Amino acid sequence: MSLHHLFCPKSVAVIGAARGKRKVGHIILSNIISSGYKGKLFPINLKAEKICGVKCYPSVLNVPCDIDLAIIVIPSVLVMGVLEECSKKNVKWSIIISSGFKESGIDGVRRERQLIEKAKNYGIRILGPNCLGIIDTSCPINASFSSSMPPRGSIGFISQSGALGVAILDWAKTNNIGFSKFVSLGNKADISENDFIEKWDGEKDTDVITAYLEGIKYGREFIKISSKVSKKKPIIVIKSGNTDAGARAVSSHTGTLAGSAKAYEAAFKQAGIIRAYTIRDLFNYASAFSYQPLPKGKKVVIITNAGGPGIMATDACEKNDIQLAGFGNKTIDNLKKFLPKAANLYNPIDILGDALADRYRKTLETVIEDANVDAVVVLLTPQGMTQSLETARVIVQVIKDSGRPVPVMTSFMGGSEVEKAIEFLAEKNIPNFKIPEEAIDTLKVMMDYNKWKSAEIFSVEKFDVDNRRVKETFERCRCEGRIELGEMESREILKIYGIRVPKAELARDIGGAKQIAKKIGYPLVLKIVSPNILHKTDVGGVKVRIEDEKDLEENYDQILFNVKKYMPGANIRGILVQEFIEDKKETIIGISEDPQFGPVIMFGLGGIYVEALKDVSFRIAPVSRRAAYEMIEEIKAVKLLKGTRGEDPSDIDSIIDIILKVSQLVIDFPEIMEMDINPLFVKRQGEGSIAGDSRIRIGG
Amino acid sequence: MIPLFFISNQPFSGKSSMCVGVGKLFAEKGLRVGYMKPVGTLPTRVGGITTDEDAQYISNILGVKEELEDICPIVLTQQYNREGLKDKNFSKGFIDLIKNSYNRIQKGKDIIILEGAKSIEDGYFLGISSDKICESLGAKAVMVIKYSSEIVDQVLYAKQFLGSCVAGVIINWVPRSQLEYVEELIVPFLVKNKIEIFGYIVSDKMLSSVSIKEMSELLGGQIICAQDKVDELVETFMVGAMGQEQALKFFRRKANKAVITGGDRADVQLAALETPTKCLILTGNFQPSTVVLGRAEELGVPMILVNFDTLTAVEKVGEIIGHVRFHEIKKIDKIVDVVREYVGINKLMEISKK
Repeated sequence: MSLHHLFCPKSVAVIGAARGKRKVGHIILSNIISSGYKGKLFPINLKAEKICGVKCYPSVLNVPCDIDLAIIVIPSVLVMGVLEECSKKNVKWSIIISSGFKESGIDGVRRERQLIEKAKNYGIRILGPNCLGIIDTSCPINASFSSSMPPRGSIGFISQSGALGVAILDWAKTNNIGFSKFVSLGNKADISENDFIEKWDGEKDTDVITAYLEGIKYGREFIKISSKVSKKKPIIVIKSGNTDAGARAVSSHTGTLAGSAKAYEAAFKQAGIIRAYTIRDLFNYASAFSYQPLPKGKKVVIITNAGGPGIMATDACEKNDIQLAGFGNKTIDNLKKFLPKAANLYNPIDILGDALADRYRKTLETVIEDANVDAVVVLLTPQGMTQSLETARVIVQVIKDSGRPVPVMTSFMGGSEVEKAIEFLAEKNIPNFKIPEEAIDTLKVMMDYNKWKSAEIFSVEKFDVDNRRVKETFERCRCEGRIELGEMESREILKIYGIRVPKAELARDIGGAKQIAKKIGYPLVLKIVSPNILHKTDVGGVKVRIEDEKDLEENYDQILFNVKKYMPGANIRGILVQEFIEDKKETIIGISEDPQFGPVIMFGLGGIYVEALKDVSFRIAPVSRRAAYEMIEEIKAVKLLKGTRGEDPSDIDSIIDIILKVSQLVIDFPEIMEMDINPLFVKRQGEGSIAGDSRIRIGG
Repeated sequence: MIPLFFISNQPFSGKSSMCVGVGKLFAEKGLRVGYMKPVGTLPTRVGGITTDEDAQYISNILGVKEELEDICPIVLTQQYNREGLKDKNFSKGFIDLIKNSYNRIQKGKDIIILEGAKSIEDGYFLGISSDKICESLGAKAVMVIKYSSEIVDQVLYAKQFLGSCVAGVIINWVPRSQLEYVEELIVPFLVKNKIEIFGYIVSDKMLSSVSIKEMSELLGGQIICAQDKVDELVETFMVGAMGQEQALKFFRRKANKAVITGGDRADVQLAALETPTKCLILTGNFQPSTVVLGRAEELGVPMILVNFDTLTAVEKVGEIIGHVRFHEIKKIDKIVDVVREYVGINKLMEISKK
């Protein structure tokens, strides 16, 4: 499926073209005409002869030639009939601007369901309904009711909010930010963000894909498509509804769950998505990617005519793990030739407040050629003698003359004094940032993207597992109306997937417990086994480090007394006598099901690290070995696993293996809704990891 | 012919279900089945006659044609209690009244099923408690006891109260997790104590469920979408007042549930719709957002709008679920299946023939 007919149709019918100038059907028709659309245009109106000087037809069936795209702007109740006419006319693409579908309540839902079904039968693809339309600046066509047509550029923009789209287009026009395409998604009854991301991959006009999304319709597909496309071109996304209150607003606005913030964060990482948190960030990033080459490394030079902004930019570099480039002798010698003695030759280069355009030119010419420099940030404050417009001109010229593809960002700070210079820079595709920190933050995003782009692609490994018994266990649970698996069942499942568990046996009485203790050896752990008790510790059902038989007798009884006290009705199967694992670090692996992305895997160090410090990392399953490794590297407490103060390093490779096996388990069995291995004992390097306790919950 | 008297030590133990299940299975075997509830405790008016709500419903299900006055000759209304307390002679003729009705009912029948009042002691001060009825009609008592950790005490006490007319016990509502315990310890203990076990029935959530329509009626609510799904059954309920992520995790723990939440909590409502939820009860008389309403319609999950707060809704729904009559065809079929699977119907037939 190519989107060519949607963005660059040879002929367009505007069904519901209206005479009234304030009507959407009129505005769209008039926007198409004024955007310079060169194809055939057919307004469809039952009564009118001509609208905006174009001949009208009472129905698409009366149009004398083929129609590539139908734009439908009529009351929702009439849409179905019109779609049937479109099918007779063999129209394959439609944009349904009309509202009154899913967003409007029960009747609307039924109407949309019917619409989807009919369109499928007719073989007509739908954008919308309840959308703003599309804009393509190269076609050109403005088939939307946004009166602003942005300048031509290489940014493609997908918006789930039509009204926000209008505001952004207007803003882009004012700031001279060029777009290749704009699309408003509406209710996403058929075509969704995934279709555009996938197709814009091969789109020559679009170098940067941007999106404003409130929810993603098919999460796993989104990751699959985006991770492929983002290797070629950057995808920058704003996802709103990240807080509880925001999520509530998304829910009542779109009728979809906003989704968990951590799942989105993980999904975006895995898909190579660049996440923007504000509209300003979105376009800072988009214009930098669109107009500048990617920095090859992490070394930046800052040129400034004021100390303060130079220091602020330096701080921002340090915060973002960006290095200030050190110069070769040749560069220093050259700088010395023209910079005043009071100037700072070393990075950040302070060329002093009296710097005119020529000093900027010479400095930029010198540093841009230094092989140690991967990016340049030019700062300017408008002082009495500052030639801001002239400086902008020389920057553009130096970049043009230089043979090195080095990104150059500017931060001309101020208001009216620098206004003309900034306009000139925008015209010449040099991104200017209001404050230096924004320029540095944007460079950081570009550096991270470059790293992503050049990183090796890791595929998901597959372990050979005979999981028939796992299937049987889940079936038995379902038959018994249970959704929670006890520890004994979870242990067996982990063993089947090759995850080591401690030696353990179930004791029915103290005599049995003593026998098992002899077999396993002290020290031991005792745990209550009851289908009614899922949180064993809460009812005093766990005793650790049982050192000898006397200890065993005492603690065995104590567990039974505790359970009798806290859960008098519980059915006790017995007590699990388990090997006590010595010399270990406690970690945790958890799974929770996200409605958009499926199983989300969590990793962290156990105890306070998870509960109080929330020092955890997340990824969407299935994960690659690389992703599992990154999960461990991402937590702050990783230093403890690597060994501090002379401690032996822990067996990180075995954690990676277990993450991969758990990932495969939850993909093999989508009925798993939640799962914990807590604690996962990690031994010294080379000694492996052991699942100390586990719990699985399946879908009800 | 010995009538079988299904009695219990507490309400909502499953007596009515047993009467229906056993009655239907007897009928399947070609027996002419009679039904009677000597002492009614759920007064209702049908065609100008005061009768018992369950008795009237069950007699319909079993297709018995006798007069309602005979099917339930005594209904313990407030008036009966007052008169009985004031006048010691008030209840003098009650046992005869029951006997006469029984004599009319048993004509042309192969087997008679009697249903007890709420508990074995009901009507004791009027001389019509279960033991007295057993004695006067020569009936054998089948105790239907709901499983609890005190079940052994309850069975032994009931046996002592009823004396020699006890035929045995059916243990009802056994949680699956307690099945092993019941089989390994409780049943052998009761058998040792000479108590016949006719069966032990594993809890079936469907039987304690309530239809969405009935729930809405009992709550005085208004169903605002998915009208074609109002006959679906709700087995349990959950309350949602947390963030969306926690709500999702929480709601996944139970299936076939009603979710009670504020009408203005679109996030919680959508989280509930993502999990196995049968209906949403929206409190505070807040209309949900149109998009969420649309989503519920799309998924076929009715929303019930109620005009009280969440706390009140929780109390009311808690009372409804597990304490409802089985007035749905789906449930009757299920009851028959359950009785067929778990209850020794032939043993009961033998007793009635002795």
